[in-house]
Amino acid sequence: MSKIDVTELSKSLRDAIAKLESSEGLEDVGVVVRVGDGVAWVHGLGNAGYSEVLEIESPDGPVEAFALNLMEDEIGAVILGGETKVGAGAKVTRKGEVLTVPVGEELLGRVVDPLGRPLDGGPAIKTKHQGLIERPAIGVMGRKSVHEPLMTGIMAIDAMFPIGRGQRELIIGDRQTGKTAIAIDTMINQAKQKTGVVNVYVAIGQKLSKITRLVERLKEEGVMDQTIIVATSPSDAASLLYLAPYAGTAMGEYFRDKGEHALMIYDDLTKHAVAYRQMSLLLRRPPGREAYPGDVFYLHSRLLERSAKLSDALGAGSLTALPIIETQAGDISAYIPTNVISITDGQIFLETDLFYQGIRPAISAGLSVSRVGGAAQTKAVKSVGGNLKLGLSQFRELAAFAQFGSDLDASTKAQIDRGQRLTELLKQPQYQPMSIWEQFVSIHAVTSGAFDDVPVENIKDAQAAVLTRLWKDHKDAMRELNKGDKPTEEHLKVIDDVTKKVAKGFEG
Amino acid sequence: MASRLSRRTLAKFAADELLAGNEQVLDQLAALLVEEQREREADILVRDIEAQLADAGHVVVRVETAHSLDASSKRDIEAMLGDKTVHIQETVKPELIGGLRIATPTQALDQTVARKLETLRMAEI
Repeated sequence: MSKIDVTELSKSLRDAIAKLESSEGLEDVGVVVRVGDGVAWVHGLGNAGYSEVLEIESPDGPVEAFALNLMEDEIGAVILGGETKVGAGAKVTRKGEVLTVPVGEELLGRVVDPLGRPLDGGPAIKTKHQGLIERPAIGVMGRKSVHEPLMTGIMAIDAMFPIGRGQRELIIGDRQTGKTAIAIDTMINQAKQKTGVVNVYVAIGQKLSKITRLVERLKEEGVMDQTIIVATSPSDAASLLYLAPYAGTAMGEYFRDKGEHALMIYDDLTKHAVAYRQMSLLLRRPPGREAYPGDVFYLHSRLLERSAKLSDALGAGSLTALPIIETQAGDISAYIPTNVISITDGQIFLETDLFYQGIRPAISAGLSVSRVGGAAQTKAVKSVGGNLKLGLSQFRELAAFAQFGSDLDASTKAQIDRGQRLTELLKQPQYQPMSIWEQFVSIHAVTSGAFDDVPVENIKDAQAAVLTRLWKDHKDAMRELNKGDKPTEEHLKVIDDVTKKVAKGFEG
Repeated sequence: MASRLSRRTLAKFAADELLAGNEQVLDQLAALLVEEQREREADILVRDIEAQLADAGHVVVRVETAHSLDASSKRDIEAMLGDKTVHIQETVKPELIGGLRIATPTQALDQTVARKLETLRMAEI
């Protein structure tokens, strides 16, 4: 075999490139063979890639679709939006790229669809950057362990199941148990505490009236300026519902990769799985358990793995995720809930029984967990969180005996009384997130015993009175405490003095 | 029950047979399509066969122009497709106004004036 001449090789390669370029203008084309239910079956385009964007000619201009089924004889392409404009025989061309969505600061304060088109009646959004809707998650070496707190402002969560920046914490429960309320309060708290965290709320198949109420509430609370809403309604095509969380994540990743912090809320992934099931069945993919396609786990795992805390080398940004899953009759062992529970770093389980007993947020202390735990908790709240959790777990064990009030020994009765007061303390109205110092003071007031003689029904009033007095008389100390460091002896003395004085006024 | 042959398999078989000079393969294909009640796929199957022939070096090119092609234009079209045997099927359509539209089994190029006007109209919309 003759020795390969490198210069000839270079010339041959350049000639081959020139030959390819000479066929510029000829583009790959296919034709729609049939269309229906949001899927166009295309003949031709043998070089189309998976998830590549295709353009289908229609009387009103090109309609976009993306290729999801690459089969031997035809391509199944899911149409983005108006399938009524697409007819059989229409010409189809490849766009040569995968789906992207506008990303950037220009989206803050806006309500958009998964393709970045405005839904709020505002001007068209022009961004300098585009983000890939499908993108691999950051590798192991690009990550750092979660160590910074993301305060939700909800005492029960921040004290017992703390969430850190870069964590995935699932919010799971039946319908109407307050799942979205937790997400909204968390977003409001980012503005109230001026954390600088950008919120991205992805509404998947949510009623437009609910999204409208949400936008109005966020505007009232002054949160909308640091929030992006990606909205899809139940009447939107399943393809848009499928894309929504990925599009929202691309928008959040923009901030993460710049070294900033973003919070993703996916409301809810149950509807997302249902939309994906619909698409897969229409693409004639074989159904699996509960008729979901075989890759329904991968649907959510590849989404949630993109939420991470980045290493210092990559800018130390973070993307925190609060996915929401709706259960039926409290069954957390069903298919989709168990899938997402195994992916996330913990869950907050909301129970219908607790909700109707008036315990709101209706968080089940027994079934909820945060796998990151104390590493993501402020020292101040951590110092009282242990006693809180212990008090509640002891109360849960003894709760069945609460009805035997006078027949119990003193220590059992004391544990039950303490548990009832803690339960009452953890009730929190919606849209009123609490700051670090408020949480510390409230929990300390009960766990230290200062409120032991305050009737259960007066606990919330006593709490409010203590907080008001402390803010009025010791504002600097409370501001100092709000930084999150472990309280000093001086802080504790001031808090104990005020708490005891206020508690006397509420004792029965 | 025998499994159904894919169109690509049928097209490859037909293209190989046609290149070998066996024209009876078209009768065999027709019989298969009728037996399997796949007559509706005939047009698409023809495209697939043409695509296979194109891969093997014989390209059927459909050219639509407003005026007849001269020899120079035909040579340019052949040069565009590289080292392949090109069979041009020409159709004159005055409504295209000017330019030409080229379609191979898998690719297309539309440089007609009518197309440019349509593009401008859609941009206005």
